[in-house]
Amino acid sequence: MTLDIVQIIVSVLLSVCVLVGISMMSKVKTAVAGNLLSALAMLCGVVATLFFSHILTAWTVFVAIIIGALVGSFMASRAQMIQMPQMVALFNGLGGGASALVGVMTYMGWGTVDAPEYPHFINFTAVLAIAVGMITLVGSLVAAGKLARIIDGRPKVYPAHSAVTLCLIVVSVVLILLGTVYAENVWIAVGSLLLTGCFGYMFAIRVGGADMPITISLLNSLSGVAGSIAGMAIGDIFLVAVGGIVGASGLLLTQIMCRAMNRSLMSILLGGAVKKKVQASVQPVQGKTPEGGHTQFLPTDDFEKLLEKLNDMEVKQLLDAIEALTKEVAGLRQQLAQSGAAAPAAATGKAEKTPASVLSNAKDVIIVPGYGMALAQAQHAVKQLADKLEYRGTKVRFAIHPVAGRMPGHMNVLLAEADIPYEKLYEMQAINDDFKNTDAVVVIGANDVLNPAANTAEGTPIYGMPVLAVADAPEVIVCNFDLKPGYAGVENPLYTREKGVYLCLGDAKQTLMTLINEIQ
Amino acid sequence: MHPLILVAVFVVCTVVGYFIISNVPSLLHTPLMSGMNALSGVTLVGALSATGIALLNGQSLWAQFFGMLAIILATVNVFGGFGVTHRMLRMFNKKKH
Repeated sequence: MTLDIVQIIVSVLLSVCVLVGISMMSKVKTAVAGNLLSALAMLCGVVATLFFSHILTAWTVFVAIIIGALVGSFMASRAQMIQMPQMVALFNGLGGGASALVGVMTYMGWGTVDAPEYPHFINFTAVLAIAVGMITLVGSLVAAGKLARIIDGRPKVYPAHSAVTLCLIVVSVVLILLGTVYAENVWIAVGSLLLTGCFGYMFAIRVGGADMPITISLLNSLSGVAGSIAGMAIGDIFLVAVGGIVGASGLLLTQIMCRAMNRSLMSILLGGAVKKKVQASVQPVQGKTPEGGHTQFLPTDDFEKLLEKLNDMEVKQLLDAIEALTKEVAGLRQQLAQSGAAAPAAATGKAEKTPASVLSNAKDVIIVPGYGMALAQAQHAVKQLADKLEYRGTKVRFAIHPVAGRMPGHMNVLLAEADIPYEKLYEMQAINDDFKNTDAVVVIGANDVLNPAANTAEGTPIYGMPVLAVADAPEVIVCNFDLKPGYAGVENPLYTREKGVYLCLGDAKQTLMTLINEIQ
Repeated sequence: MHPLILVAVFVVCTVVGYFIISNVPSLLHTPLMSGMNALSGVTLVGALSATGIALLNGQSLWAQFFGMLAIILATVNVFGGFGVTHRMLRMFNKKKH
């Protein structure tokens, strides 16, 4: 009995350590120490469990710990900063999976010796742990796969998606209730594993685009809840406490992100249908380049036939054909120029102003990074650009949209990696009014977060999302890979603006290097 | 352990956890999320106690297999999560040197 009390006191102390660690992690100066404190509290929690459960002699668990530690450390040390979102999602899924397994063990009556005092409570929490854990595992794996581009990143909606999802929820709830009453039933355990796994898949597969960070954050919260419920099942206070803290903080982070995007959580989870329409409207744009149709010679003709045809043609005929073609090309050019699609080309072509000259003359520049910067690994080139501009006396600031990239704070991490002081990073609300007063804006691999269509294009997934007011700036230099719509699939009208937009397409790192060299 | 105590602990920790991180600069959101993620591997504690007891009492092979698997998954989560978080946070601090 006294040992029980000691165990409770130790658990409470360690939980407080975790809380202090997390609060320290919320300040830049103490963040490293906070992380280490949390890790230390966790280590003490593990040692205490080994001691209090009298399992120090079960040497095989140490083998498992060592395997896990080696794999985890290896993955953590090898991951590149750009892979962080999928790494976090993957680790998160594994934690959820572990909670589900603990749920299975407890439900099947494994891992305990005495008959439980409150069997229904234990059964209920055990099956619930299986459910939440499996949703976390499968959902996180799908999210990680989408982010790593192993599976298609766009939202996918199956026929009768909502109906099937609803059925899965209902049957899962029934299984949880059945599991509460009937203990140690293999079919209930297997059934809830499979069904909730399917639910996790259905839930994550229909989310896509800029909503991915929110999904990961939500799954992060869920894995904490799963741990906490598993803790209730086996009656471990430390586990319940830490799981609860993680669940709450993950939910808060999710809310912060939802607010930043001006969307409710439900609309994100159920928003797949809207996006499908947008994709359909975007598709034809990609394949519209006029091509072919003018030559009479098919590649299938062999060389001798080709010669015969040429011989049959008279010189005059050939000249006529060439003249007709030239006219046609000229007509097409005119059409393009009138339709405005060629406006950017005209803008870069006509003026003596070039992106480099704009930057050379600017006194105040705002840089807007996005996921493209991460993809191109261009953060060091961005740093060089900022250094060069500052050396010339230009004021350089960075505008960070709350959901730029694939994770909250993704851009901050990358820019910090490139040694850009965080005092120069401004959040959206802090800098949005300054765009109209600045001399030039450099956009690096960002699209959705500055798309003015968010204010006007109703029915698109980004409608209503607060965006960076890049469109207000007099001169905008866009260093994007191409002009295709961003992750959310909505065309950006800024690219076809008549004046003051310079498009430097291609790999951001190379574009930036040429830009840096050209600035005089 | 009485169920009510466990539920009460859960509720209290949820409320406290909600308030303790409510004023984090967005700069730290990623490391924080990653750190939370590592902490959610705390389920390792549950996996350890269940597996240890299953092993020592010679329970079924399934129990031992599931238990070992749970421990490995949770440990990967803990070590990977803290490792990744540490790497990210170190980058914020290195400019001081």
